[in-house]
Amino acid sequence: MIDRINSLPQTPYGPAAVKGYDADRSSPAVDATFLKASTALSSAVTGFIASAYCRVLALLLKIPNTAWLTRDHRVFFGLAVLGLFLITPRFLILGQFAFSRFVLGHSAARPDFTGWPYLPVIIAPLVLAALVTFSFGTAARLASLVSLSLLGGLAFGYLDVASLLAFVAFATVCFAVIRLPISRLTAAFILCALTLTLTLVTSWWLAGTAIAAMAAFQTPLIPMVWYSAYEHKGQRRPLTFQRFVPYLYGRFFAGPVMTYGDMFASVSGERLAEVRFGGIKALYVAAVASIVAAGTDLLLREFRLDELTGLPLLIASYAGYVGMYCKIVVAFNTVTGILRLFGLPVRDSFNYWLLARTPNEHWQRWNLLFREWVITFVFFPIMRAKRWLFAAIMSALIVSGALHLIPAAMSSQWTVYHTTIEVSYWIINGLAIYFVIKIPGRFPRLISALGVRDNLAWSIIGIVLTSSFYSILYGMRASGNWTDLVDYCERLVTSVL
Amino acid sequence: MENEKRIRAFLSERFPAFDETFDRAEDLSLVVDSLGLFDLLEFVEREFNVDVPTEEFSPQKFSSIDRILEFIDQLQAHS
Repeated sequence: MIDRINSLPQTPYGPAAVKGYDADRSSPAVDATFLKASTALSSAVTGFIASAYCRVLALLLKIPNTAWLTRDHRVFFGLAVLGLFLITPRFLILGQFAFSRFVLGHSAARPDFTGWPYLPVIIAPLVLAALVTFSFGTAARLASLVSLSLLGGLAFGYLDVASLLAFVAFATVCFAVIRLPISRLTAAFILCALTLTLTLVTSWWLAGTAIAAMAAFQTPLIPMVWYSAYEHKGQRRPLTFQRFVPYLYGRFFAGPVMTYGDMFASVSGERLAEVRFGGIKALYVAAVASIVAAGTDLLLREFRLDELTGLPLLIASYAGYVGMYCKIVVAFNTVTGILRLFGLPVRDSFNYWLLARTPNEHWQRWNLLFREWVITFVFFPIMRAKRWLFAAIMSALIVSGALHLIPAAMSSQWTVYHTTIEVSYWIINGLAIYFVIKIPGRFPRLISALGVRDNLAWSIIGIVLTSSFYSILYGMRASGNWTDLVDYCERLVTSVL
Repeated sequence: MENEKRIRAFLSERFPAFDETFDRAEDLSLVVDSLGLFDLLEFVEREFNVDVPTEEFSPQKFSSIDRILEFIDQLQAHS
């Protein structure tokens, strides 16, 4: 049997021994297209299953407010039916790989599922596990979730032993620091230093491991460990090690910032049903975002930013901006959805961010839990002490920028250009927020005469302007050097003029 | 009830997007921006004669009328 498999033509995902894979289609380009098409549509299936489950649950538990589900259900159903015919090859590839590696001991190459969307592979077994552990107690559900994600991660290569050891060591040291008899602020600063050390260590000494690949998600651990210190030292929710580790664990899969209190608040009865319902909703949104992200990726492969001018360039930039943000929605909502399915009451991180009418509103709708940390620990103390609005806004944005910049700055590809453009991004955001607050105050009569507030037409104009603002910023950040940046701006402006 | 009326009056005056149709439990996060949050905090301190310690502040405590009332009750109980 092993000889027979070894004699088969090899594809990037292992031997070509599954339906949908033949030797003639084994070139990487063909395989990648095939894989992306099937995964995009299998996301629809996942979403369809999620929405069907959601409806049944809503019916059984008499949960109202399912209007959001009905609204886009028909389109989703169409995609779901189409997806059913295309989902099979992807899981056959996965099954074939697992069989050849773990049963036959064959050294087949790991399937490359790093493209978008990746949702079905991750959530399908976890959703199943959530259903199996439905009636378990909180601790048993959490233990099942952590064990399954660990096993799955190790089996499919998302995790490795070195990464796990590094993570456990990090969590242990953080836990010890939080328990030390020192002030909250001192503990919080030591934890910041520890997180930065983790980023450094994983980038330099553990390169090539899973934890290094996730380095970009490590500095946002700072808000989480910071919250832990404040919550524990406040004696409101004392930490336990067996909860602290899984609390941080989700972050390594690009999960949202969470507070310790939110994650482990005790829920039961009808509230537990609502939390699980919210989990399905989060996965449903992730499935939709996953399809959109895959779509924008394909679109930008056909219509490249460096080949367009004027309005088409702006539209392509918008697609890039939406796609990039959708990928973050997929990552965050997958973790949120799974945690909720297992009964952990994690809050939403997004609130219809595409409908923002001003840059201020954009940040009121985007990454809400991170925003809450920045407002609580940066914006509020400055305003409270000095009432310096400009300083408070700029400090909040600079801290946010620093947490995003540090992991990227570890990359060997990083240049002065990248630092400048990234710092500029956060400063421009800060200035935009400041002026949106200040300008209406300076021209109250004009604002009143124009009827800007609570007017549908102005809301639409606001959405278009804000979307254009973030699309252009996306296009500028996507430029690789100064020449490309100037070229991008010229192509955008000259055509319009 | 009286406390709720005072909060509603302030929200209507300070935030144009707020109106009487807002439920007590309804999310205020899109109505109250970061600067508005600070104004709301000052209003609570002034109007209800309470002191909000810096470490007690969290945007979540101002995310609905219900939560604001709950927070005021807590502060008054401790003062």
